[in-house]
Amino acid sequence: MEENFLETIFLTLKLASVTTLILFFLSVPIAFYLSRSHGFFKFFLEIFITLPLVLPPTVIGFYLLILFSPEGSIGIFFKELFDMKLIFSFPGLVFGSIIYSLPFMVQPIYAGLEKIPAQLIEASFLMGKSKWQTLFKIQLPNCMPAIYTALALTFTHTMGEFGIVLMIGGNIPGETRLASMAIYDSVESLNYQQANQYSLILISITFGLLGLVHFWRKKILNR
Amino acid sequence: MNLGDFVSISGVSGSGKTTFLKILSGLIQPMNGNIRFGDQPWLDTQKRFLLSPKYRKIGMVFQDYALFPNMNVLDNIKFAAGQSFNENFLRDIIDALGLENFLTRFTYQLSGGQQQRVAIARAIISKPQVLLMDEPFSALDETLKKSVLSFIYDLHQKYFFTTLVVNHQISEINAFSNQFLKFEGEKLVAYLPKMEYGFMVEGIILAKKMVDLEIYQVSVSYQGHTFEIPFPAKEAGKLQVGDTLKFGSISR
Repeated sequence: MEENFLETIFLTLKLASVTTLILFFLSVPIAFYLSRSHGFFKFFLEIFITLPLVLPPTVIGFYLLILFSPEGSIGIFFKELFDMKLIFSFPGLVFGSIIYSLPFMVQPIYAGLEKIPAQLIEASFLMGKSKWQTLFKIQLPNCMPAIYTALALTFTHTMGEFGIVLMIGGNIPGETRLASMAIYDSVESLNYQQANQYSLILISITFGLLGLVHFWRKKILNR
Repeated sequence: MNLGDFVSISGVSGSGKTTFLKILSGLIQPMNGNIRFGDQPWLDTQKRFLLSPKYRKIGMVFQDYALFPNMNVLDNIKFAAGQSFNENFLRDIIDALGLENFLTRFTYQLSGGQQQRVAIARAIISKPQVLLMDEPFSALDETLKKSVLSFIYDLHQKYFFTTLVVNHQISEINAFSNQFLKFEGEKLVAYLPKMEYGFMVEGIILAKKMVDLEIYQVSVSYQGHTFEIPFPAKEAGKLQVGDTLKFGSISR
């Protein structure tokens, strides 16, 4: 096992956790907006959110590289305001992951909200509740299976991200070296045993998480 | 609508009864028209005015109950009650509707009839000024139906809820109604106003229903439309099926 094996695994889990947490709070309002509106803006938003699902990660990575670079608009903004470097840094990876994993959080929550019978929401409105009270007391608690799915998919998907890491992250141990990057690196240097170690860890965590979510969903849906 | 009315709505399924209730409650906005409750405007499409459903103080019993699956029975009722509610009134409702034994159960663990009673409890806990009920007794057996019905009528008398009930078929609740609406082909086709206005209508007794309440099922023609309404037998005297009945002088 290589020297900073655990460090790399830990960094991968940290990135996945931070991304999942931020994305959750970002995606609930987006999904709520999508479930309520029918406008032209919704049309664009839906396409924009689906894009990361189908585009090669290298395309997203390429544009993020341009934007995040010290000469890029977002790069300059963060440099001036927070003295923060986005390229080849952990915060940059978080930004990239948020865009990359956005559909995996928004889509399940959106679908979950859509599936709630309209009458539940109408009943809540007639009881004088606001749309936010209705969201937090009725809509979200009644789409927990969808939320579990969204959290698990986002977490595991972020853990396995590679294309964007390659473009904007690089391979700095403890800063941007993720498990997927380490696997690529190991194979490049013909260290198959190390690649296997990283791969097995990734598979185990992913399998465990998906299993857990499957179990929770079953428990809720079966009652 | 007026304060304290008890309106019975009939019509075949798909004729717009539920839509009518949703328009009254503000859940659906019609293209044009206006709604007034007493002297309070609720909707006026010409003035582009709409009173939000949450200010209308409406209690609604949905056709398929619309109970919240994430809450138990008591929480469902308390959620409807909001911040301030009367603990005694809650007790009364729980007793009258026989909900005592499953307050901590979740709604998906209840039978249809039990869910329906929770839905009724939830609609009246906030003492609404208008109570809308969409087939509220469809899953209750005869005994329960009678006790729930008389409880609602008592509340109606006591708190003066304006009450609108949708009934798929003619039912006992119509006996308490002072107005009748009939829907057909997605339109309101007939309106039988309060009897006490002193107009004369003729009815033929079709059958005797609910022996212990002594109610006749009477067929009444008004402005070319036929309503089947129940009529309390004690006011009509001893009558037989097939007899003709004259309304008008009798205040209901």
